[in-house]
Amino acid sequence: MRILIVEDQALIGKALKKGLTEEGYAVDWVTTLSEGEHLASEFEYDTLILDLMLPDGSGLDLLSRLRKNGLHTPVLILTAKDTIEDKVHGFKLGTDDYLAKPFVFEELLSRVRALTRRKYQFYGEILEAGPLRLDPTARTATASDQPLDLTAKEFGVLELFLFRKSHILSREKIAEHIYTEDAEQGSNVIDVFINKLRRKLESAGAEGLIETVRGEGYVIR
Amino acid sequence: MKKLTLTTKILIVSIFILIVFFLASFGILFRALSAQSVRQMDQLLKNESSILSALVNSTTSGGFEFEIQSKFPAQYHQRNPNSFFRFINPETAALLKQSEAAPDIQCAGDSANKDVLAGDHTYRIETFVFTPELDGEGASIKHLASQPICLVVGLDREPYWRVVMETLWSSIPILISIVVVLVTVLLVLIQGLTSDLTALTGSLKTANFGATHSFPSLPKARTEEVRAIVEVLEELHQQASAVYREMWLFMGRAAHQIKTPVTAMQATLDVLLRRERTKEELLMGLEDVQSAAGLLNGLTRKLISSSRISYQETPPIETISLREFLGELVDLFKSIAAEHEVKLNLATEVELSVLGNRALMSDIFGNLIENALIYSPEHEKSNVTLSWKAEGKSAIIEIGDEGPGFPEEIKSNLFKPFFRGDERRAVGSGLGLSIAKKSVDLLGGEIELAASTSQGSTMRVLLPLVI
Repeated sequence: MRILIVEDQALIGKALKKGLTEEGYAVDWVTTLSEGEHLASEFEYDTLILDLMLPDGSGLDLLSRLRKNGLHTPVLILTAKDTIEDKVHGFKLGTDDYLAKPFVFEELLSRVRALTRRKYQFYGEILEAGPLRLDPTARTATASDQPLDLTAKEFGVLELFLFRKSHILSREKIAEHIYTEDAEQGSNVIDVFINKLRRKLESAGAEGLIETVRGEGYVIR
Repeated sequence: MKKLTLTTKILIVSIFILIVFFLASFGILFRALSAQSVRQMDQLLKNESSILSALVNSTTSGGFEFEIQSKFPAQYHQRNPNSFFRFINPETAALLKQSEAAPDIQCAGDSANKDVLAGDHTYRIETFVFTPELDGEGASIKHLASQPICLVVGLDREPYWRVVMETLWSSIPILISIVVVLVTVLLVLIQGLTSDLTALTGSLKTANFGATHSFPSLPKARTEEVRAIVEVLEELHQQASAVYREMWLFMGRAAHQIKTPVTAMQATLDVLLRRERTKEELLMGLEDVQSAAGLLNGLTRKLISSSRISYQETPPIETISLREFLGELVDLFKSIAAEHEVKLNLATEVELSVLGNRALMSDIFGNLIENALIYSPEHEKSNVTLSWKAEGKSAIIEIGDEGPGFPEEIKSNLFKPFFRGDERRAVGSGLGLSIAKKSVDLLGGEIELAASTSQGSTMRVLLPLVI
């Protein structure tokens, strides 16, 4: 899952990036609207976290521009203002959720998760494919009722496969979701990553779940 | 038309009443004066008039009929048609007769009254019918029949003082009505005043300056004086509301500013405590918390100086050498300037002294230097320059930077606390310039943005010069 944070306060941005990365998200963090706009049009993010007051304008300006351009990525607004009028205004412009500063990180995390699921229009509780079961809220996975020990990134990729069940995911798409722009990556890093994930699934008795589509990518049906 | 004040109204009523009073007095005086002329006339008559002859016939009713010739001054007759004749005793009549030379006038012979003019005098011939009962002195009247009857002609007038008293007496109802009208008008006016004041007090009692600030709509006063009070109160209320609003805005903005470092601390600690950390991770996290605490500390300091300046009265004034003072201040900021890679320098060597206060001047120039450093372009080895010169009775101190300048839309609100343009956030606390402005005001100086372009801006401070 890939997330864009637009937050000009260095300490807040740094903490959010660290916390979300540790939860398996690929996080891009920028401090200005222009950088944010650029990245949002470049990559398909699963959630945007926007601060309202930025040095080059309001986060709401960016939001309304993005929505005008037909971008429907869920947006979480971080704001120090928390009056009803501000919220109503924000929702009119297409905000999906609000979080008033200061906030507890856990709350931000659960809201981000909810928004991501909304993006993939998943409203159930458990994601399933054959013997594989994923709980996106508790971040736990089992295969044939055996707990799987997955890294946050691995969980994120499986989650994406299940959200996009029967859709072939290209290597680039997978890379986008687990690696940020600045991360160094070799050409076969995704293949290595998928093989490692397959081995974990196999050892838990879920063989052949991830299929290779030659020349296109991978898929879980 | 200009509204009349209560005083004016009372004055107008009083003048009106004075006029009425004056006219009334004039009437009384006039009447008294006429009474005076009547008295003189009485005197005149006593001397000049007399009965010239009388013819007495017996009447069928048993009384006597007199035909009397009398003489009295023509002017008296003209003025006093109501004159009458009075009998006096024969002795007096005799005296009167002796003093008068009777002109040769024949009686008209009929019983009608008639006036005959001769020379300066009018001779009146009148017929009187007396009955003995009426007279009460039948014998005397019979006696009169045998000799000329003398009459004194006079007026049926009261004595002079009584006329005056009567006039006054008859004026009393008028006087009372005037007083009653006056008192009524005054009461109506005063009632208007008291009812206005009561209404005003009533609505003011509902005013609330507590947490839910409310001010009643004040009554529309009838008296101009109370209306003026209402206007003043409303004006004061406007001012108080503005100050009130400003204070709450300040508090809100201050709280808003505090949110940023608090959010940073919270987020850092939340993330840090989510899992087991190595010592290095812990140290890095704690350093971030420390930075946030530093931000909070700086903000708190500014808030304290902002509040201190707001209630401070005239500060103790001392003579301060600019070169010495600004030199020390620049030394204090050297390390921060180095962090920002900015060259902070004094461009003037001139020895100038100003009338100032060390603490306030530290606030002024500390904040200005800090701002200049913060807004200087980073890592570009730019300059922040301090200079000063004397001009007239002021020392002009200028702090110039090579930053991006102030956006046009915030220039007019530069010195308001937390003002940084709509929805924009700057690096500082947003209090620096407002603190500087208040401090400069306390020292009786001036502060302004002397220049602001995209290549840099210059702040100018004027302080009283020691000559």
